[in-house]
Amino acid sequence: MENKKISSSQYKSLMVIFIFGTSLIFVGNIHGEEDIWISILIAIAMSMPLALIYGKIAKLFPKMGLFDIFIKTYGKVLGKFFILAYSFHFFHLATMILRSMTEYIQVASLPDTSQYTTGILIIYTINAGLSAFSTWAKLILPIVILLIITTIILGFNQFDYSYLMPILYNGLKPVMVNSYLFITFPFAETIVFLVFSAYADDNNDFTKVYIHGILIGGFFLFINVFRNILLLGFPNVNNVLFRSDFATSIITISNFIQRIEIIVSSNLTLTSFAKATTYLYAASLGFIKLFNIKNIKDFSLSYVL
Amino acid sequence: MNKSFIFILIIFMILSLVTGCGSYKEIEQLSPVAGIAIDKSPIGYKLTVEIIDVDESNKEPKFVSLKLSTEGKSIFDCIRNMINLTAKKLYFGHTSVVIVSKDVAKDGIIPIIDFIFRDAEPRINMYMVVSDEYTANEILHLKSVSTDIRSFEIDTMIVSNDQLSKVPNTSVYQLANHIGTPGLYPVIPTVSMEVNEGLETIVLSGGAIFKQDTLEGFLGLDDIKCLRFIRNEIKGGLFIFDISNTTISLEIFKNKTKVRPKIVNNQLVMEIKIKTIVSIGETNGQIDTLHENSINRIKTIAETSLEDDILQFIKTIQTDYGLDIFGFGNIVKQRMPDLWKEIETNWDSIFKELDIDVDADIHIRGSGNLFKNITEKQ
Amino acid sequence: MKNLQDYNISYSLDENINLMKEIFKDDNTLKIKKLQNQFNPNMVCCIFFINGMVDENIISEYIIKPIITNRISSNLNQMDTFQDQIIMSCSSEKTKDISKLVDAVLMGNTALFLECENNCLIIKSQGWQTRNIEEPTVEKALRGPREGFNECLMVNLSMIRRKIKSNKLKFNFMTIGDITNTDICIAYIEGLAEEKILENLYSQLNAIKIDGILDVKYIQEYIDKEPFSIFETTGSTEKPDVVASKLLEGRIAVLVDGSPVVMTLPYIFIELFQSADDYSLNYYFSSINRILRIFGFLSTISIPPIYLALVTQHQEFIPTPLMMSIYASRISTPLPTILELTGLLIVFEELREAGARMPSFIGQALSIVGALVLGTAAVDARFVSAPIIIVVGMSGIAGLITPNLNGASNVIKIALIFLSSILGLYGYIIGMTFLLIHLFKLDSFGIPYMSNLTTFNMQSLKDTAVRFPAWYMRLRPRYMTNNHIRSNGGKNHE
Repeated sequence: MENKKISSSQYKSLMVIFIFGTSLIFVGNIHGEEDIWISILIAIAMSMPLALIYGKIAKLFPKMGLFDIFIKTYGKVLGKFFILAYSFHFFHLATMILRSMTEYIQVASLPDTSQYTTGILIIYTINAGLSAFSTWAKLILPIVILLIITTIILGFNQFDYSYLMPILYNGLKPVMVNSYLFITFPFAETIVFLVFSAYADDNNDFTKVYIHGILIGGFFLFINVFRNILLLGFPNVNNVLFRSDFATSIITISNFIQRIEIIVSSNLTLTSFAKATTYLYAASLGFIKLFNIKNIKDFSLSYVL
Repeated sequence: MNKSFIFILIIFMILSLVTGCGSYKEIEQLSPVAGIAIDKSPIGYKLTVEIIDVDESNKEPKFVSLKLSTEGKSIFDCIRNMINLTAKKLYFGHTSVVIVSKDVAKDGIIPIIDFIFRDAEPRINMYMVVSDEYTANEILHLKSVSTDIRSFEIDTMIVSNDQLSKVPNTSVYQLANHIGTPGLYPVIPTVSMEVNEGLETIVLSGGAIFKQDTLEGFLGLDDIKCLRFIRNEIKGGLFIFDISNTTISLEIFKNKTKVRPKIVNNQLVMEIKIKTIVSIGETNGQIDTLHENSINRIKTIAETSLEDDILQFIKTIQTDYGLDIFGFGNIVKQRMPDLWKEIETNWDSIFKELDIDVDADIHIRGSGNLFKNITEKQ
Repeated sequence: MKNLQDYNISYSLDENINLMKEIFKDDNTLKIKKLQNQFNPNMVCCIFFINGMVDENIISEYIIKPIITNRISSNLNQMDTFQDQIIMSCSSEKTKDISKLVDAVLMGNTALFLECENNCLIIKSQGWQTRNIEEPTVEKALRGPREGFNECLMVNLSMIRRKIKSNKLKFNFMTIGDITNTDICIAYIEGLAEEKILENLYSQLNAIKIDGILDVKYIQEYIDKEPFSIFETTGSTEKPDVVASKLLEGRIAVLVDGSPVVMTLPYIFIELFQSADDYSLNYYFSSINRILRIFGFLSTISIPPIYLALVTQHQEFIPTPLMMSIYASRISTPLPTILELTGLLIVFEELREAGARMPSFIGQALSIVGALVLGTAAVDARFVSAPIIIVVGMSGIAGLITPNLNGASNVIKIALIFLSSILGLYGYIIGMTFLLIHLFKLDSFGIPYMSNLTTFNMQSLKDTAVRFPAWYMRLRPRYMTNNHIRSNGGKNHE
């Protein structure tokens, strides 16, 4: 693993992709009703303080990852405990994402699993280093965004705006509950990036990275949910499991462009791969800290299978 | 590096052995189903599928349609029973239409929608149509006029009917929404058989009203036009009326209908505002289409005639069915959510007594290519 | 057999002759000629050279003639007299080292022994037949310089020197190969080339232990950091103008005697899509060409796996009419799609390979046979389905746009086909991610392989997917050198 510096734009793209992660397709599987788009907006606004906090932490401990910070602030024993907890948490999330991604692939079209292939890909990526990974994210982000925009442009004719009404029919409470869920997942989860803050290059302002990342990611999540509501309508949105998938599948243009949910599927595969890799990377960094292993390569192999 | 390379290689080999060709299915080993017809049978359902087949006798392959039918307790059971009949797997990825017979529709169409949504293959934007007089099986067996495949023809007919606006353009995912939306009852297209020039062929014959998911009744082609006017679904079509022995056909270019709930004298009134841009498509009499006065006369008469048609239609629905197929309830929910919370439970009875206020505004844009009417020699 | 170090040059001419005869035992190309001055019969000497490696004119006119016809008196430092006054050669050297002597003779120099001298004179007399300077066949230019390197190192160096007339241009020689003793030359421009990269290159070159170098490719494979990667991290070209422009960007060139191919490094991904005449053609046109090449690479690796995934796993994504026609053509063909696809890809590659090796007149006939017999007949006979032919043809032609990448794209194609046969389009996506991560991981002498492809800075993008006009490219590539400024001002646009 080479200690190449990572620029703030790479961080940003990685964070946006991370936020997309599984959320692009599983968004609102929490029991959100008609006003889920408001929840997202609120969640974005509410996660701004979080972004400031994370940014401040990164600023207070320059050239230090989250795990180093733990040891520095909580001492050796307690710090190590935190590292262990966080690493397990990240590891758990990574497996969960892999799991749900495979589940999606299975339900959507393929009965058999792609878990192993993705696993190998993740190992390979971790071995390739964070720099390669984040550069990849930077290249892939415009593609992902372009695909989202494509679905919106193609589906524009079929939008039914009446589904947006009435606003706040069920009152504010479910909206707030949902936005709380949104804050924890995916926005607050961006804490995982603090682990990587040690690799930042010199002119890296983490507050900015966080704010931009969350804003861009949140905006496209919002657009995504909006599109699903306008296309699928109610109560379909609440009934189907994979909303984006269904929503894009009904986009039809003159009988030639049809079933373009593959766009969503590819987005999902890319972004959830990125998310799982981010988590696993963080987790393996944590374990390395814990057990004082020098080489991330030997270690990452032991996961995944 | 070398070690991990070998490791990856081994993984790949294991992978190829383990997964093999799990979901690999050759396209020619599938039987693409173009359409499904569902009838009642003593044990449950009778399912007929139209399969796209290729006639290989010529060098140029020709598509032919092939029909198969099975019976079973559920839709899925019927489909599984097809395995007894054909070596190929039925493939619903390109299915464009589901024909449901009257009897099945009366029992409820939820199982069919459920199958379409649950399975990954069928498209949720296919059409579901109800056959009114004949069994769905008979409809599917009719000879196709314009294409080789019967079902694709029905699909195309419904889509191109937007130029006529005489059939509801409701696909399955919208149908599912309508079933689940309070204050809105779904209407889906119906098909029937007609003998045209000695050829038994299929016609779209209007719409079928559903109460939740059970069939309640049928509507004619012109009724559907009124329905689409109210639902703001008019994309084109003709509006025909008479002025003193002269029949005038107006071609609709654009239509915008706004339905708003209003409280008048403590009474809920639905206010329907129709704004239509038309041009004169055809006249069969001596109507001056050039002067403003005359055009204004046409306009007023057309407006009243449209208002009358729509009011009449709504009255019929209110008295005959009492089902809110116009989605008035939904509009109340959107515009007056607080009121809706109060009246939601007894909306059906409120709908029967609902006052309607229709206001049509027809704007005549032009008179086609003719400056004057074509007249005989004086 | 004795080592060369064990031999010593003696004072006796006859002994020396025997010594040479022994060293070059059984080698009949060694010519030995004894000479005697016509005025001084005591003045005896002997020259050795290898037949065929020398310019015989030089030897008879400027070595033999002066020795025989001049008045030479015997004196003490006879050798110096010979070197300074008699031999009419621009380069001559006195040596006692027998291994150096042997090397020199083997390279086509002439060795001169004198009676009563225990050293010898090496006189430059190289001269052999070389190929004319021609346009390289693989890198054809529509416009711009057409000359290409040939197999002679010095000629090649002269071609580069003719383009860069600067004392900053440095040529450094070294020899690699225990047996072949191949000359290689490292060329760079002082002040532009990064010191670190240069040091790195020297240490890697010095570490090479091999018996023979016949082509620059041997070195390329030795110094490749990722030996298993399908992408090359060093570039190769046969055109002096390309080498000159790379040198001007701060790159380093390695020339090998006997090979017309010159290695340039560091090498980044986008250079695979650059072509020499990009800089000689209108920049809109060459930008379109660049984009076409990138697109060609993408489509050659993508079309077959995507087709396979669509037809065997995601039939619902194919538009209905297209699906029906594929269905109709697939019916009653005996082979599964994956075998059809891989089989035809192999046939296509065979045709390409055969066409490249065949004399051109047969090559033409071959392509007709390939297209007609294998294509149309196979479809008519229902051996393969028609869409497969289209897919393979499209992929093949797109692949021919970027000949540099042919090997890599074939490997990628096969891997992607394998993945998408298992996992469908997800397999394809996973495969592409693999590819991208791999590309980002690669670096060439510390320079990331994918440099300049992920920034949206105009000055960095100027020479990637599009080519900006020459006056715009005021800076040298940032990743390559610290000495950025290429030209001050130039045209005052922007």
